[in-house]
Amino acid sequence: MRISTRLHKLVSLAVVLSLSSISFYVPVAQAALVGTTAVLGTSTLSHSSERQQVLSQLHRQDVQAQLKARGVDPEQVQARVNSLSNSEVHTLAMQLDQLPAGAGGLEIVLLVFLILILTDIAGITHIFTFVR
Amino acid sequence: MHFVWRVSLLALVLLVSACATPPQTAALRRADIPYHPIELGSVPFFPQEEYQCGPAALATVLVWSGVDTTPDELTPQVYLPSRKGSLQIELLGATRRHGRIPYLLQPRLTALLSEVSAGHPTLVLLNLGLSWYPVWHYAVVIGYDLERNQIIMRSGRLPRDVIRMEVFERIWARSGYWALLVLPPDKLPATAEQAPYLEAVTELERVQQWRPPARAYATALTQWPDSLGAAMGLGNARYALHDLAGAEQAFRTALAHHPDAAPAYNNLAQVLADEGHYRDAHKMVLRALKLGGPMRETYRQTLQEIQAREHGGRRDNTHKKEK
Repeated sequence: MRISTRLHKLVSLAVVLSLSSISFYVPVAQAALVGTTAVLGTSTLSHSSERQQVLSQLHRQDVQAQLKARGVDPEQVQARVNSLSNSEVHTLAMQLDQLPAGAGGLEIVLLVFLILILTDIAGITHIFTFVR
Repeated sequence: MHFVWRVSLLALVLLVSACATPPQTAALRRADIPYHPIELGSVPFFPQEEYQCGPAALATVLVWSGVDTTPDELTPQVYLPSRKGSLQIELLGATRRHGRIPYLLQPRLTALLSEVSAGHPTLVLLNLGLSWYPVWHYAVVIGYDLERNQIIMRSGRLPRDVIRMEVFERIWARSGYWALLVLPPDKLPATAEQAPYLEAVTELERVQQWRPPARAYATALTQWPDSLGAAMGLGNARYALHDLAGAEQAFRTALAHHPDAAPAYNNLAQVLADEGHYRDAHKMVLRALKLGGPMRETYRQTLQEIQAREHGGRRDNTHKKEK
């Protein structure tokens, strides 16, 4: 079921990409310039590049859906994902829920509170402003 | 009883381990870092609201770099409601959306302090808690004092959070020493390395911003005058900005230092053709083809296009062309 949906997505996307000039990322929009990423060797412009672009496009859709599901404003998800590099999108697609999310907010149970005071005093953690 | 015993053992372990100075702090004594205290007082401060240290820290460095923004404006661009926080990668994306180059530092205390002493506030990810009880937090390092062994940060609700160097190293190490520099395109990181810097600049092209990359490539050329990537990037960015003369100059700069760079011949040929100099364009693309390489197919396309234009006369003199 899941695989067939993915396959369906892949095929339809490939069709869309080949039929229209939908603007997925091309380093320099004009045809015959060699883009900077190619010169730097950060993108593999070999025979597999078309396949990779389709794959990366799928990852981008995947991450957009994941962000939406996690409460991001639907109007923002596309712009947020568009501003990321292919490898960043890949990282998000694979481990969005495992990555650290900087927040600084605290919900602490008592035992952990005691331990953290000790560790603060020891200079291993840095949580309570009254421990200096 | 058992519990009390465990906690006291833990306390003992902590006290013992706290005595050891973490490695990078220890190495600072031998490092080549300006010794006098530094504090970048002009860096703005945005007190963090609940869970919003990502937008607050990012606003701090963006506003310092000359962008007009606020944490409230950045929240919809980086905040992830289900996690009640912001991901590192999304801070990079939001930086690009504001025309700034996100540059990740080498994971070293010396790199961080070098940037601060060069006047660059640096955004860091810290784990204020423990590896098994993480409290992830973004802060901006704005100063240090080696004599007193201190780091100074804009952090959370504190405009001036002063902590011991050892403590800072421990809580910073848990994020893998993650440090982000947000610079305007006319400034290079003090610790800039060519390849990662140019890569960081090209990723700006993705959000279809060409002026900041053009500026940044030009800045890179002042530091690394013979950089092929910087010259090519500059040429491509100027081309995208419809600055044909500037693009031609940049590709010629690339060729002056790298006479074997086939892509530079190809791109120069394209610019010359757009300028209506078909004969020169033809010559240049033939050199690209002679050198060959993995982009041969592109050069052949360029050749065909130039030939078509030569035969079609001055059909099209602008650099916009139909495919």
